[in-house]
Amino acid sequence: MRGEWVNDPVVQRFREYLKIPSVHPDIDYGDCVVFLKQQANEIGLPVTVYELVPGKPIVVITWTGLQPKDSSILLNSHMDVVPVYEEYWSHPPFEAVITDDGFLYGRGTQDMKGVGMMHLETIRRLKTAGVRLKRTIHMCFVPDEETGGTDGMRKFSESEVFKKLNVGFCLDESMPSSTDALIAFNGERTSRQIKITCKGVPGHGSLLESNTAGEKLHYIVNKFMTLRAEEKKKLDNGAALGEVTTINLTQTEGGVQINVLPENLSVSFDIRIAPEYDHDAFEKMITRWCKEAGDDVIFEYIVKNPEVKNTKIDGTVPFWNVIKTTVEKMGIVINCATCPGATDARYVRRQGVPAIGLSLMTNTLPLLHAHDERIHVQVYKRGIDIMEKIVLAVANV
Amino acid sequence: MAAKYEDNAAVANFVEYLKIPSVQPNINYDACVTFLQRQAKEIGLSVKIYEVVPRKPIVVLTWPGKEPSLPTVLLNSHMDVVPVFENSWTYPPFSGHIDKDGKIFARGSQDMKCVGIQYLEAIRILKQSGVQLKRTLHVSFVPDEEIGGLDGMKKFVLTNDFKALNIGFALDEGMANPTEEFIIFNGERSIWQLHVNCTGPPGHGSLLIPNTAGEKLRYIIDKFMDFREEQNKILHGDSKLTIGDVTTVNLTQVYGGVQSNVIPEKLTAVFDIRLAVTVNHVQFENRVKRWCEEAGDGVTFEFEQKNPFVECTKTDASNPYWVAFKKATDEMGLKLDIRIFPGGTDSRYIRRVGIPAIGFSPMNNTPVLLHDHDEFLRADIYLKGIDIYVKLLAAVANV
Repeated sequence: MRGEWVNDPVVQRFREYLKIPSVHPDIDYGDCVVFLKQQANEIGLPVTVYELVPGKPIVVITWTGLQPKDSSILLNSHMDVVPVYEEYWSHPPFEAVITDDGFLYGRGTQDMKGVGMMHLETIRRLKTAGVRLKRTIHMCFVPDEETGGTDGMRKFSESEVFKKLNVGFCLDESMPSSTDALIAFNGERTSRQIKITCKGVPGHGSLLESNTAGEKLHYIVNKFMTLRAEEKKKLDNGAALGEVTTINLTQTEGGVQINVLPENLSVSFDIRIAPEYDHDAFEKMITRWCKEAGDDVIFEYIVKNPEVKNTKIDGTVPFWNVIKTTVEKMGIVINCATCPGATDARYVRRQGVPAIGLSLMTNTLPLLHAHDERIHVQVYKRGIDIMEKIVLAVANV
Repeated sequence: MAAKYEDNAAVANFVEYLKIPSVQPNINYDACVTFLQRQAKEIGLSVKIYEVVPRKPIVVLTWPGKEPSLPTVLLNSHMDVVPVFENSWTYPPFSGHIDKDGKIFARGSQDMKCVGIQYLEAIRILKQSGVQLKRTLHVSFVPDEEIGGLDGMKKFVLTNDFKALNIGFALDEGMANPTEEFIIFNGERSIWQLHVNCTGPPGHGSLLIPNTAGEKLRYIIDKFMDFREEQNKILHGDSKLTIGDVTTVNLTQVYGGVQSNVIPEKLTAVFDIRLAVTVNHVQFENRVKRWCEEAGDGVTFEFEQKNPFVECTKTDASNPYWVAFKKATDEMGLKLDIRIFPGGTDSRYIRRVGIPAIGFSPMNNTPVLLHDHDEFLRADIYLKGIDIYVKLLAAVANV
């Protein structure tokens, strides 16, 4: 069996991509660009490389549809992978070793060169078979997703070039599922980091003055940590991480001398707001807490991501419906949830484009960012089969 | 009015002392020492300079009693004063300006050059009237009280020179009071300053992992601040209580964390605590330990300062000096209000070596202006204070 997989050109192409060590930090994307251009040439599709930031190429392979004026379908994946601790790996992380039992080891097998290759293999297969799709397909390979996408999808999604792609729907990553069911992501929580500064009148540490910075800090910490406890209860009762608002006290600072009441004490919180939360109400609540804490308690954002609405899965976005129907017709269950982390899909959604994260890997132990990241060859090939049906469906909506 | 005091020698001595800018920081005490040596000579007292730490002189003027082998009485005051914001003063803070109402303006007029000179003026009067007291009086002038007395009284009480003074009772500073009562301090709270370190597993800020440093810090702040609020309620629930009667807690510093999206390994809260004299130290420390245990694994505390328990000076029949003090003030018709000092004075070092000490600055009907702008003392209050000390010193030194 192993020999058969090793010689399988579908597997060979995937292995070739995995062998490129496009690993953080300081990635040279040159080899990725060369590889993708070669893929495009083989398939017979035009390729454009955008370099909005020098050294950060965005590779777009386009397959024009029968109705090129219709909005297009974007199949997005990132070229970069996270670092490895090689000593913990059973097989070298950039040699794409296939074991006798059919597991393909490599950094990026799950996150997310595997998905990018499913996109390519799907299009290759459809094009080779002489299929024509209604909508134009853009396969996009972006840099630096793992470091926040600032120089990658964020800039690209805000560019004129992106607008011209006229994207109507986007597929991006989700995560492997350890069961038979597929996992899809239709949204992400909103990441915000705030710093609250509590001011008070300085004075001597031996007194019990009112309106001290310490009392105000006490109030603030209590409010946030009480909310954290409530959210944690939801999580402990079985809610998915993506559905709860997480709060963490990450930093504190302030005070000048142990026996002097400080003028300033501050505390920072990392907050990930669940999509169902009214974001404006959340901000108003923080403002109210600051007011309740006392005079001169102010908060500022260190990071303030805008609220991005989840891609609708209630039928109003037709693309999701056809994905669901298509997959279910194949006898596969698909569950849609809010992504607990962050992916480039948020930048796409921010532009008003519906986006679904979809890594078509069932019965696979999630090993994103972990040692021995791997995928079974059969899971990978089945993923291509599913992707083919999905692309056929969404591109013909 | 001012003219009335111009020829008053006691006022003139006071003003001369006030004019010496022995102000923190980096004080040169030479002018104080010279002034005090001259006073000693004029009054006819012996004088000794102890320099436990170089440039930090302790000046002791001595008036031997009739029974010099008996324990002596120490009259303590400090020579240093706290800094000034001169722009906020009506008169220059080292001018000793006397206004038309007889107010003597200067840094140190209340805290506490007044008391030092009052001791001397009272002794001058007693000596001039031909009296000799039973017990020896030592009048000490110490440096650096305002910065904690580390190089002053704290070290001095531990020396053999101090032991040789054979002190049985001490008077030190009290505080002004706007009403007719005189405030008496017989004890001080114990200062405990501690850092509580809350540790937990680091992790990504998007998760809700258990046992984080933040949750533990919240618990700790809750416990300390709830306790603070209890004490505040006790204080405000009883009009007889003053700040010195309760345990105060203040969150004065917080630090910890590396990045706003990373759950930190360690967060620290720093508290300034002043334990009321009624608090059992062992029990209180156990309570803090319990709070740390309840907060979770890896919560520890360390002391930056931990004052030992110091007995209050007795204000009952068991203390003969107090009995004499009280009898004298009763005879003068002075109303006393006995309290625990809210902050820290050099008295704590004296009490720590087992000597009873009373804090008393004879300043009733006087606004509390220590450390404030436009610190002043009315000349009539100052002079009345000398009369009070004449009776008081005679009483406590004749025990």
